[in-house]
Order: sequence, then structure tokens, then C-alpha cells
Amino acid sequence: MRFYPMLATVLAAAIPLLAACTKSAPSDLNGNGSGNGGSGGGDTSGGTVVVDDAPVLDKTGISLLDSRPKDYNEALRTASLKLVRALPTLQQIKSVAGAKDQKAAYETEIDAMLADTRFNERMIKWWKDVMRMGGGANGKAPSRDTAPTFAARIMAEGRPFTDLFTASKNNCPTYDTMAHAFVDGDCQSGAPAESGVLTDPGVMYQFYGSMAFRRVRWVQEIFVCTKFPAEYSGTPIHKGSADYTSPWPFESVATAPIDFQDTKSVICANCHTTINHMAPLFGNFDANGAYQNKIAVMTPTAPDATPTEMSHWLKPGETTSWRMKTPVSDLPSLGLAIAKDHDVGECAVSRLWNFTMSKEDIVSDLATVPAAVLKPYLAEFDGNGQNLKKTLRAMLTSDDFTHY
Amino acid sequence: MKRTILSSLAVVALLGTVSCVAQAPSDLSPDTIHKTFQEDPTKDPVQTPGAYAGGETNTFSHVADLGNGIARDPFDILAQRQEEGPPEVRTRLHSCQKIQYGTLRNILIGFGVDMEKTSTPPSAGELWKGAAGALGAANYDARVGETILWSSAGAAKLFDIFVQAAPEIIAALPNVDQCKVDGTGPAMFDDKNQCNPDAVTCLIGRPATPEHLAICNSMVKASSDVETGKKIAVATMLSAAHSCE
Repeated sequence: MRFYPMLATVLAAAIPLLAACTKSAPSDLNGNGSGNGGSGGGDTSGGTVVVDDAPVLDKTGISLLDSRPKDYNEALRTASLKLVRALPTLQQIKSVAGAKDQKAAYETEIDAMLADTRFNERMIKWWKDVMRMGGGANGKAPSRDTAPTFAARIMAEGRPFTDLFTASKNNCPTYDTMAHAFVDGDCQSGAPAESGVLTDPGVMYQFYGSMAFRRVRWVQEIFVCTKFPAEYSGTPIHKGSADYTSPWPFESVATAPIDFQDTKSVICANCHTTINHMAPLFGNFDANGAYQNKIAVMTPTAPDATPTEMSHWLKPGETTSWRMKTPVSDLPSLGLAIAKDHDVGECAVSRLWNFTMSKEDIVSDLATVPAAVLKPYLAEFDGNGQNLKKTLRAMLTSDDFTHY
Repeated sequence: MKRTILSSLAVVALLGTVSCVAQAPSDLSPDTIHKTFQEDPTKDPVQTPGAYAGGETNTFSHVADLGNGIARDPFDILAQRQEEGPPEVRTRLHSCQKIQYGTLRNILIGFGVDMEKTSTPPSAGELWKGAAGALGAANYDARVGETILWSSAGAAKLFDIFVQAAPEIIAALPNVDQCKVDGTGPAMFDDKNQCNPDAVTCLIGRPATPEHLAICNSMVKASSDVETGKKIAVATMLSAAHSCE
């Protein structure tokens, strides 16, 4: 009986205390940070990134950013929860709070956390959430842990992010939770050649669907950070009740059994010109994520689904492509095309920023990051060999992260 | 001016999105239109009523989200973004992310809570184990990752857990590595029933201020008895401090 009255008391008491927590700042740090990033010309030396293109802000915005006090202990707490999924120890808190050079003490703690095996485990979890998949193998169902584990391993080992799409071996590693170490593993999807997560059976299983469209959508939304349509023409053409905006020839997509050239309700081809040129590459993976020597997905015809044929996606003569004028013949060449696409790197850095600053999903919640905010980190990412771990460090030591 | 144009474009785009995703062929089965079923990616997609309901007179019903979760209303998102302020500002400010499900377990273990303990009413460990859904844990079978934001139920459950964990934390705090400095850990309260600054610092993960200590002490003092007050004080400190990552 004392349980609920006590809970009510806690709830009531927590409200003013929450205010005390979020508004309090060590008095000796007052006025120690300008908070607005300055105009340092995009300097990334010393691991500190400065936003160099001062965005156009209204008076309220500038005032709000300038009013944030620098608080390395608050940053330490947030970073610890994000990187190793635990609160900082009392020893760590005191090390930073009592340091003559708090910035250096804070960065020492950040480096220790980034080197901690718990960070690798946290990144596996983060990539599971980003990729929307996880779970061990079960019967004919393959492991859905390998793709997130591979992404985390690439981060942990400081490899180029693009390995995620191009690696021809060791693209399905596992993680030994007892030894706290990654374990090599090839995907063995049965595909003619492996290509990072693009041939991961767990991915193919998790995103199995009609005509392999869900797999294409996964690639687009997770790694390009936008929904379809993905391509736009500079000269839209009026079709039916709306504009056809894709750069592809309108007639390039199939009309039967599904009419992708239909314009009666929406312009299907705005999205499906891109989608249908990519989906055939994923079509040979069956419902269990295993590669077959023939197309293994179904076309949603009524009343019964029928096995998909190439002509269900595209008109004769059309070839598979990543984008208009970027033809790809197989999954390895798709991986290379994705790796060269700057939008993919920008997406990865945007997701990392949202992770760092506790933002929602960039696609589902439209938590986009303005170019001016992203620019220095993109420069850092491109300059460090697409090493996401180094970019994460730059974010964690930035003015924005250390000001509250 | 630039922002006005962008806002207009955003509104138009959102309207367009709604007009697209809202298209529901009238001859789809009611189960498909209202989605009264739980899609299971481990099963053959044919299980889904109307999954293959494409035909000459309709458009295949596209799901608005990659996962099985309910997609957010674009106008709801737009309203939220407008309230948050200009993107150049809001994206540079920390948001309040809930404590992740696994992280909460680590925090409790770090403070000496026995996650396997059973009791009536349920122990903190039991509450945690039974609250994955309320606390927003991932549902990968439905292609949904862990949530970022609290739900009302999740926040209330967090407070429940801290209330139940408080007695264990008070007892264990001097002996947990989380709170030791040079091999010695602080007691939560001194012999005058005052909150120990180091203990509060360890609990909240940041240096305790005089305000923190004042509120902690007031919780002890204001309660019907000291022992109850101590539990409320610890639960209060934890609940307030860890509402956000």
C-alpha cells in the first residue's frame, strides 16, 4: 500500500528537481563558453570542429545558442550513457570536475570510452536500431545481427564506412559477448559474390516483400536518409493529374501485371523508375534470405501472387541501375555505386549527429540536419578516410555537444 | 525570406506526402485498410490480408513506414518542428532522449541492485524485465528500433523502478565500484540523515550542487518517517536526473 503514495511523492518531488538538474551549472564555468561556434573557418585541428558558415539565425536563436553554458561534466554524463551505456563513475566525474584543464580531462575520458569494448557493443545496438533489425538465427531464418555487427565493426576498426557496401569477405561477422570481440564470418548467402550488407541474408530475410521493393526501400531510407522519390528531373512533365518528376524515361517501367505508368491517382513512376531499376538486383534472395538461381520474390497480383519476372519491373532493354546514368550489373557494382554516392556519406554523418544530440529518426521523424550544421563534420568525415568513429569523436568534443 | 520559402515547400511536400500515402483502394479488404492484423516478417507475406491486392482498378496500398509501427502524421511533425524553432538552432541543442532499456539495467546494476530479486510488490528487477514495451525497447521482428522519446507510461514505469530500487541502492552504495574513489565508497546519508554530496554526485552522474543537496535533504525531512524519506529522496534524485540521457 505504501508503493503508490510513495510514487506520487517521488513524481511531485521530481519536477522541481528536474528543473534544478537541467538549469544548474557549475558556478566556476559561468561565462566560459561563447557557445555559438564562432567563425573558425571549418577548423578541425585538434579534433575540434567549428561551424564555419554562420547560419542565418533570428535574434532568439542567436541568443539561445549564446546563452548555453559550457559544462564538461554534463557532457561526460551524456557521452557515457551514449557510448558505454552506463553512468560515469564517481572517479570519472571528479577527475573532470577537479581538473585544471577540464577540456583535456573530458577528452581523455572520451577517448577511453571510445576504446572501451562496451562502445563496440553499444554501436552494435545503435546499428540494430538504425537498420531496424536484430535477432539470432532460428531454423531457416538467418541471423539478423550480422549486418549491425558488421557496421559496428567497421566503426570500431576505423575502416572506411563504404566497406559496409563493398566488402567481399568477412561481411557477416559475429560478436563474442564473453570475449568482447568481433569474430570473422562470411555471409555465405549463395550470391555469386559477396558485397557487404547488400548480400547479408539477415537483411534479405528481414526486408523480404513483394518484388524486392522493401529491400530497395531499406537501402534508400537507411543509407540515403530520404524516402522515395530519390531522383528529380529539372524539367517535370505533366502527366494525368500531377507532374512526372523523375529523370528516367517515363516508359522505362513495366505496365503489366502492375501498371507502374499509371497516373490516375498518383504518379507511380516518380518513385518506381528508380526503385524498379534496382529491385531486380535483390530479386533472387528468397524469403529466408538465401540467394537462388532464379527470381525468388512474388508479384502482388490478384487474387493470387505470381512469381516475379524481369518484365514485371522494367520494359525490355532496360538495365539495372543505382541511379539514372549509374548502371550497375550486379550487387558488387551496386555496392561500389552506393559507396561513391556523396548522399550516402552525408546520411551516415547526419545519423551520427542525431545520435550524438539525441534527435529522432531522420526519415520517420524528419529530423533532418541543416547543411550549415553538418558541413564541418562532413569535411572531417571525408578528410579522415570516412572513419565514423573519428567523426563521432569530433562531434562529442564540439562546442555544441559540450554546451547545455 | 529563405526560411519562408523553405517552410512553404515543406508544407507543400507534406501535403503531397499525405495525398500519396492516404490513397487506399476501396476494394482492399477492411483488414488491410484498417490494419487489424499484426504483420509478422517471420511468416510468409501471403498471411497478410490483401497483401497482393493489386489490380486494374486499384493502387497497391503502400505502407507509410519501413516498419510496422504507425507512421507519424506529417502535420504533427511539422507542428513539432515549428515549435522547436529554426533548424539551424534546434539541431545544435541537445534533445531529451529517454534512457535506453539496456542502459537502465546497467545503471541499476552499477548501483548494486539485484536484477534477479523477486518480491511483492515486484522488485526493481522484476519491474524492469516486465516493462520492455512500456520503456520503448526495440521490436526488431516488426522492423522497429528502440524509441528515442518517453511515453507517459514509460516515464511512470521508470519512476516505479527507481522507487523499488531505492532501498537496495541505499544499502549497497558504499560498496559499489561505481561510487568508489580510491577504493572507498560514500554512504548515501550521514549520521544526521543528511544526503552525502559524493553519493548524490554518483547517483545523478554529475557534480551535486547545493540545490541538489537541499532538495535531497528536504525529501528526507518532509516525509512521515526518516527511512521512508530516504527512499523517496533517492528515488526522486534518480528520477529527475535520469529523465534524459
